[in-house]
Amino acid sequence: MLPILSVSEFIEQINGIIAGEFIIEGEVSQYGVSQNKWIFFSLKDARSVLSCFSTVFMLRAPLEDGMKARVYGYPKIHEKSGKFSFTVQKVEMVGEGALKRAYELLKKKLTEEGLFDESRKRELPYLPQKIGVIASRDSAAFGDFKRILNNRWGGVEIILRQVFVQGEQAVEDITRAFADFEKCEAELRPDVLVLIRGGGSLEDLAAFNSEEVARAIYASRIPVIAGIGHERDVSLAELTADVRASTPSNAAEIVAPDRKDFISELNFEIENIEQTLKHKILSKLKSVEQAFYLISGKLEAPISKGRMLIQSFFNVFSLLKNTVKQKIDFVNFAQRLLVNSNPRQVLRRGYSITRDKGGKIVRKVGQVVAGDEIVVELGEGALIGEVLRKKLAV
Amino acid sequence: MPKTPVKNKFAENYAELQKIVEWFEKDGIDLEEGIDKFEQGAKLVKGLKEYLEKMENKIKELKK
Repeated sequence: MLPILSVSEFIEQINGIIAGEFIIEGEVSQYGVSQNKWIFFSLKDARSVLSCFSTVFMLRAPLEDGMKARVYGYPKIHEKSGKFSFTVQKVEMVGEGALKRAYELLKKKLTEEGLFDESRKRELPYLPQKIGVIASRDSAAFGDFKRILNNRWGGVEIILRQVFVQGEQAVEDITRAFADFEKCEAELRPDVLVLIRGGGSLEDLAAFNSEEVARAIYASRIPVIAGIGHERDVSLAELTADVRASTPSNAAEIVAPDRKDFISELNFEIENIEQTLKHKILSKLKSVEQAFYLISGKLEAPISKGRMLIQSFFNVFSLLKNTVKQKIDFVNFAQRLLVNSNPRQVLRRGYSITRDKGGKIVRKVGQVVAGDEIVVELGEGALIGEVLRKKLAV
Repeated sequence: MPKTPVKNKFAENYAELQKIVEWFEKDGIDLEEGIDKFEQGAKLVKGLKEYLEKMENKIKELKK
C-alpha cells in the first residue's frame, strides 16, 4: 500500500530523488530577464527542451538566444509553481547554436537559389473574394486574423486549412496544405493564401524555417502572405512569401482594404468625376461664349467696316453736295450775270447797238461821217439807216 | 496596393467604376457621354457602399 502524501511532501521527496549536480550542454533560447533580477531561458537540442532558471547575480555571462552553452547546476521542482527547472549556477559558452546555424545556412542556400528574390514576388489581388488561410484553428493568430478582417472588410469567403504549426507533424502538414489549395476546384480555389502563426521561439517556429515549407510557398501558384508573430529573425517562410506581414493581424490588414477607406475612396472618385464633369460643362460654356465672341467679332468687323464705309460715303457725299451746291450757285450767279450782261437783254429794255458798215460798234460820233450806212440792232430785229448829221452831245 | 481586382460581382462593379474613372481622366471627353457615365458611376458607388455595409465574411474549412 502506497503512502498518501501531501503535495508538499511529494515535491520534497522528488526534489530529494533528483538532487545532484549536473553539467548539461545545449542551445540557449527564449532568454529573458525578469525584474532585472531573475533569468529564464531554455536549453535545447534537436529533441528536447530544458527550462533553466538563474539570477543576474549568479550569471555574469552575456547569454543570448542561439548560443551553444554548457550549464552547471541542479534540477528542482519549485514548490510554489510546481514547475520543474534547472537552476543554473555557472555557464560556459560552446560556440554558435546549432538551430540558429542551421537557419543561417539554409537561408544562405535558398537566397543563392533565388527563393527570396524580389523579382519573383507577385502582386496580391486587390479585392480577393476567397482567402485561403493556413493556420491552427484555435490559435490566437487565426482569431486575430478573422477579427481584423471582419472589422475591415465584408463579403469574403475565408477557407481555413487547419494545420499543426508546431511539432513533428507541422512541416508535412503545412506543406500538404499548400498542395491541397493548389488542387482546389475552381469554386473553392482562393485568390490569395495566408500563412499565419503567433509568436514563438526559434524552435517553435522550426516548421516555418524548414526548407520544405519554404519550397511549398515558392511553388504555390496562388500568391502567399506570411504573417508570423515574433520578434527577432524573419522566418524563411516569410522571406519566401510574396508579401510579409509583421503579425497575423497585419496580414488581415494587407489582404483587404478597410471599408471606411474604401468608401471614402469611392466618394472621392465619384466627386472627382463630378468635378471633371462640372469643369467640362463650364469649359463648354466658356467655349460657347468664346465662339459667340469670335463669331460676333467676325461679324462686327464687316459691320463696322460697312458703317465706316457708309460714314465716309456720307462724308464724301456732303463734301460733294457742298461742291455741287457751290457750282450750282456759281452757275446761277454766272447765269444771272450772263443774263444781265447779255447786250440783247439790254436791248430788250429799249437800248440799241449801232454798228458801222464793218460791224464795229459805234461808240463815238467821230467813228462815222454823214452819209455812212449804219446798222442799229434793236431788242428784236435791226434797222439799217444812213447818218444824216452828227451831234456831239445829247 | 496593386489594383487588379479578382472577378466577382463586387470586384466587377468596382472594375467598371475604375473604367469610368479612367474614362474621365482622358482629355476631350464628350459631355453627354460624360453625364451618362457619371450617372452610371454614381449608381455603382451606391451599390458598392451598400454591399460593403451589409456583407459579412464567411468561414469554410478545407478538409485534409
